[in-house]
Amino acid sequence: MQDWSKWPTVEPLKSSLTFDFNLKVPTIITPTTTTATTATTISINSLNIGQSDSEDFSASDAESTSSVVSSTNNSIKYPCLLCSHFEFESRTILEHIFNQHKFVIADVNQITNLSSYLEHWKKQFVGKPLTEFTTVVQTQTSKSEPITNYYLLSDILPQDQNIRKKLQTDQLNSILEQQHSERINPSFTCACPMCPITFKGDRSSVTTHLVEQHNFNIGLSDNLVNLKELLEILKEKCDEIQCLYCEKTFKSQSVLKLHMKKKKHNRLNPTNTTYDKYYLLNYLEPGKNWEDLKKDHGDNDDDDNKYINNIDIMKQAQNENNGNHQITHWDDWTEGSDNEIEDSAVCLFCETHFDNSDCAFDHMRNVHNFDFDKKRKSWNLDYYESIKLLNFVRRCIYEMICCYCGDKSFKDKQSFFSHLHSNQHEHCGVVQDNPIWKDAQYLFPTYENDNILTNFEEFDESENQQYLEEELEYQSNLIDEMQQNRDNILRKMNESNITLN
Amino acid sequence: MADTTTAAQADQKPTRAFGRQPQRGAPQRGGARPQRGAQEPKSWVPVTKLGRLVAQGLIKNIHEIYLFSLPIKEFQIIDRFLHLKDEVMKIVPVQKQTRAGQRTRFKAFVVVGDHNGHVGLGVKCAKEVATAISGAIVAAKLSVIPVRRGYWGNKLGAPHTVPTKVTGKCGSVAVRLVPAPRGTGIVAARVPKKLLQFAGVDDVYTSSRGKTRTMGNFVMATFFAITKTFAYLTPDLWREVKLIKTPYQEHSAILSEKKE
Repeated sequence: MQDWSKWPTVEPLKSSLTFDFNLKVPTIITPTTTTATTATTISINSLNIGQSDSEDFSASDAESTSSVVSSTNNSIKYPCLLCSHFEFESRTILEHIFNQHKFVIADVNQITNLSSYLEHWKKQFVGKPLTEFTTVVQTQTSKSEPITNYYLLSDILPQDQNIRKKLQTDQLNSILEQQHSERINPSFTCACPMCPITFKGDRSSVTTHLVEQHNFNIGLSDNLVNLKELLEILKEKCDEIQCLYCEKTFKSQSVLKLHMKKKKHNRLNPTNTTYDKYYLLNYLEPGKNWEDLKKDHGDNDDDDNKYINNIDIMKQAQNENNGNHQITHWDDWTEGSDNEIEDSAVCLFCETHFDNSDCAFDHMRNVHNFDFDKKRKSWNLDYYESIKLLNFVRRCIYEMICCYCGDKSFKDKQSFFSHLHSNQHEHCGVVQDNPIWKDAQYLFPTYENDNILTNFEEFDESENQQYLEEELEYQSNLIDEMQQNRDNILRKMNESNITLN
Repeated sequence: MADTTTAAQADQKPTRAFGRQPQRGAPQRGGARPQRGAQEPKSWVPVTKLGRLVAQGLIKNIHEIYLFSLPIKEFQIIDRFLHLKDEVMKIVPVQKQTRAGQRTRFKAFVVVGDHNGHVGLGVKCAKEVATAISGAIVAAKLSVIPVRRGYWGNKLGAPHTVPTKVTGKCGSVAVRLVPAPRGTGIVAARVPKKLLQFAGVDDVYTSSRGKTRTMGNFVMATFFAITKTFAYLTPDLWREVKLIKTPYQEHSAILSEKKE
């Protein structure tokens, strides 16, 4: 029998500790897209369309501007697909590719992220002939000159289509994340473009102020992203006494105000594409701006508003309880990469990070000889005692006290961990009789956001079962009743010859 | 039966038309819909029986409605009784395959709550983010549920934790809430923690199982779990309570008055 009174006393924590993960700080991504490609106009006189499956290739409409204008960002490199040349501007790299390699990318303005697109294909083209992925377009400027082949990479190829789709969704997600961080950012400050008032905190206060005080509508703040930049642009224009709609300059502020009032120029010019990148609607589909989208889809929202009678709703609810899900409203929200940090768990006895708590428990079982599930069953620990055990171990490791024998003589982590891991990890655990770990202070979590605490349990079906059965019975009775009522009403209506419209 | 029409949508459509008319040519850019705050000037005309009773002030407390499990179809009813804060949890782009290519829309997930015993969750899909958010807030208000709080040990002070262990399941995700002593805080992953904060639960342990990466199912499972707090019959509820009439029956005279 050991003497537990010699155990080093540990004071209860005032507040929980935090883990320090080596976080990669998520950077805010601004969309970079292709600039208007003006220079690469291809004039082809006579076309002989060469190989395999290709449709009629009309002269590429390089003059068409993309819907989202990029900023010529000097830090982005556009690598050439076929050699090791690279440029800093999309326009010049496309020129290079065309001139040097006779290579054309179809619908290049609709690619959201040209540099990753080029990089991906660069890897694909290593060691393979061009014709494996591209269609060949043969041209001949006049009868006497030789035939030259142009290679066209377009989304006929399913791989290409997938890449384009993926880039598009990535951009959309990153822009939504940016909007989300803007929305929850409590330190948002901005000045109104038209008067010297500054606003703090809530993004929508600026837009409502513009509408109410200056009668100028730029749209709801939820539809906007990079709001600060937009407001700065507007401020510049106002300072130059320029009307924001027709973009004519005036002599003074009062003349401008009169003009805007008279002509009702109280919104932004819809055809001006510099504003496109601030409105989320334009990121939905590449290559189309809001006008095209409106034409295409019209009123397609009707399928959400269908009339469903309440019996169908009850049946759906009943199916959900059974586990057959027809209402998939909530299925679309799946967390991607940001959850990797949140899901991660730290081992109790060493400092390794794991992707999730299951891995951590496996590791503890294999490496540290600490099988928590087994211990719970053999010692008959209930929920609260298990929590206490875990928090106790965490605390001991933090204070560099051995959780098994109470040894406090360690000065540095190295010797401490070597002690713990000695004798086949005998000291990775606690002694069952030790009353110290059953103290109530260990009900409070030692570390904040400790995923070990939320995931150590095996799920117990029985708690849920009785409730489910009762719900099921109640619901089926209700459905029968409702069905009967409905039948009665229909029968009465038939009898008195009323027809449903 | 007037009660079966989803009156919330009936309310929304007229405001859409109002907004679009003055703008010619550029509805999106000009902000077609009135701002969220500007809805006050339009007074609420109730469409359902319950709505009429609430508008006339005949129902004093939202718990009278919860007692009889009456379906609430108008979000203004909830607004009358509770001051709810809302927060957008996530906006997700979703795609649907159509004949003319793909159609992408935004889906907004919103949680509402008063941090003191009432929470709701809402989802809405729409072409514009602002529409999706306001629709989701309406859906969330319609789904508001009361949350029962209890004690871990001594019944001192205000209730701070769940009264019993409850579990909720949605899809493959199961979440279990366990009472915790005062001062523990909410021991849960980030998103369910937010939901529990909005519910007004101060201390609780959670245990989750299944593919918790499907955040939607994870959040719904916690929501079902806290719904069950009021469905659980604890011994202090054993005492029999006299039957009272439903509001429809009690105020049947007023309801059957014809409108002028």
